Amino acid sequence: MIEEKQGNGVCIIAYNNNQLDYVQFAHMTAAHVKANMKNNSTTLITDVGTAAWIEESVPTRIHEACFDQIIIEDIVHENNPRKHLDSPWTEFNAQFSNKNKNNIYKLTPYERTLLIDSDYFIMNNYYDYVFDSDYPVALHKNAVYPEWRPPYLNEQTLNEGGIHHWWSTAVYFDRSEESQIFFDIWAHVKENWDYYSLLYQFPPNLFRTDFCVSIATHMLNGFNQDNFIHDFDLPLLNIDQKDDLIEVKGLNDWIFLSHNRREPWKNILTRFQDQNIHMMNKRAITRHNDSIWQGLRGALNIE
Amino acid sequence: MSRGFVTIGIDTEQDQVKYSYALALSVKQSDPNSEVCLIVDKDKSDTVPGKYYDAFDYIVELPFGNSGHKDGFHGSNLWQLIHCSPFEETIYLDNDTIVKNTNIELLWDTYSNCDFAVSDTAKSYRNVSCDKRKRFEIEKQYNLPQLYFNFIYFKRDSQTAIEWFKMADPVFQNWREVYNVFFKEKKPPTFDKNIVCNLITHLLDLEDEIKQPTNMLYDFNAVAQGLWHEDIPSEWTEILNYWYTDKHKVMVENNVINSGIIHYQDKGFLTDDIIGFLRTAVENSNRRKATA
Repeated sequence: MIEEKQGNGVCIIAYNNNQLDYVQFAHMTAAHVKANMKNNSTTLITDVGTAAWIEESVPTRIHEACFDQIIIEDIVHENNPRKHLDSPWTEFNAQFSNKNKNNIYKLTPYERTLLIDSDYFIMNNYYDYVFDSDYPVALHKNAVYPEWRPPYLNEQTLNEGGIHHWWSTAVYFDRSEESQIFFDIWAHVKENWDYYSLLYQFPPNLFRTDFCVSIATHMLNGFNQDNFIHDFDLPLLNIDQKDDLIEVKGLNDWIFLSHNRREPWKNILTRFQDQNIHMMNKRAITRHNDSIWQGLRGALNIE
Repeated sequence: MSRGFVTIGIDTEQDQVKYSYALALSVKQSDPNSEVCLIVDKDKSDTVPGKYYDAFDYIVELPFGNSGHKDGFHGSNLWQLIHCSPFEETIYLDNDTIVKNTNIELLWDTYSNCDFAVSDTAKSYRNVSCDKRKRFEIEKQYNLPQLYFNFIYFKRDSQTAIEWFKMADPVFQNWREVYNVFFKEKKPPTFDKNIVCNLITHLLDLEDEIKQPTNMLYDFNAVAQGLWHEDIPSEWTEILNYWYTDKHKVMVENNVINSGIIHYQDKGFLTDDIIGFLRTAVENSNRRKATA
């Protein structure tokens, strides 16, 4: 691990499980960062087993084109099973290894870091502005789904009368004391998960980092709606697990089948160009592996 | 120019003046120099319990008597405010309100350029704007202004205030007939002071003139809090936890309200403990003033 933090960069955490190849997603995501952002130094954070799988499954030239560094942790993941959907008609369970996400504060090699999920595809340079700001911590306060559908109720507030739900899909932070406190609270909530689930009235079964950052943000915002934690302003665009990726027309030009929650027989074609996309339907990414890489190879000059 | 707060407290079988008392204490907790006037029913000023006297600088009577005496809708006496407020500049507050750690000078400054002012914004306990959809359902249906009349600022001698209260007189005294004339499709279930006030404003076409937002106002109407379910009880204390500490910290669920004018509405909110905390704060302040 590099002890002296320097420069700006993007970190992506990827731990494989027996159902989903997060390494594959992380390389695509990093390649999108390289293609679309100015602050595009990238670091992959992974575990020993996943690193071995990278050597086996990812060609070196692609890995080196996508990541500048790799940080390998020797960790054992706690059990955290999660139900996934692939379109409305397919369902599967997979391990969700997210409990050490807050360690990014220690692990990052950068002075200013944007941590993004491995399924968050950066298709523009929007986040570059935050590296030039004085904000210690920034994340998304709001999200939308295709057709400007609002998030589910439990993604708006942690419970009916509860605090606002913030998203940990993209977290920007610097090395300030404020950032340190933010991550300390995150760790504290994780360590006292049952207590906080009772206090903030959210279901404790699945460990979610969104809940940790929501509580940390709520506390740092003075237990009300102050703006100590910066909101990225633009809402996070979530592609639901029930939505499907239909066609990759280009590097930053994807077409989806948007699922209507109220009238489930309705699915509307929806096209996004140059918009950052949080792909919750992971298997849909895998299905379009070749066409996604087609655009990326050209952009990154990979043979 | 004299300025002060007024509130109406009309006792029935239950002690209603205690809410006005808590309000008056809370105003003085924010600013010990503020004056507060309690308005009571005609010929009833002597019946106000002596234990409440210390919080009020004035106790005046409704000059035309309690126009809501038949049905108990005492809010319908609002039209008499201009005739009985002892102040040239008045802020009226509903009695189910408390003023917490509020900069009263700033509040007066905000409204000193207005003749008559009402806020069109209020915050929920989550410190975000109230959900107006259910809160102003009737107003929305009939394209009426959507203003929060639990807080009214007016200059007694201003033309706008005189005009507004002049129209308020017949409308409040004949609110059932007015309902029948104006609300043809969907009627409010019962007397609603806020709806009547918005209707008066509409009749005079004064909305743009009197609308003056403030970020100090909290409206705890249960349907305006952004709760998910349809069947929300009318009393928010039935579903939301709250705490009021001796340091005047208000916390509802996980949200702190540091300062503001809180229209709590649910009478279950005000406990003897809260009144005790407020009384202690005012007594301590008075003692400090006396020894200074």
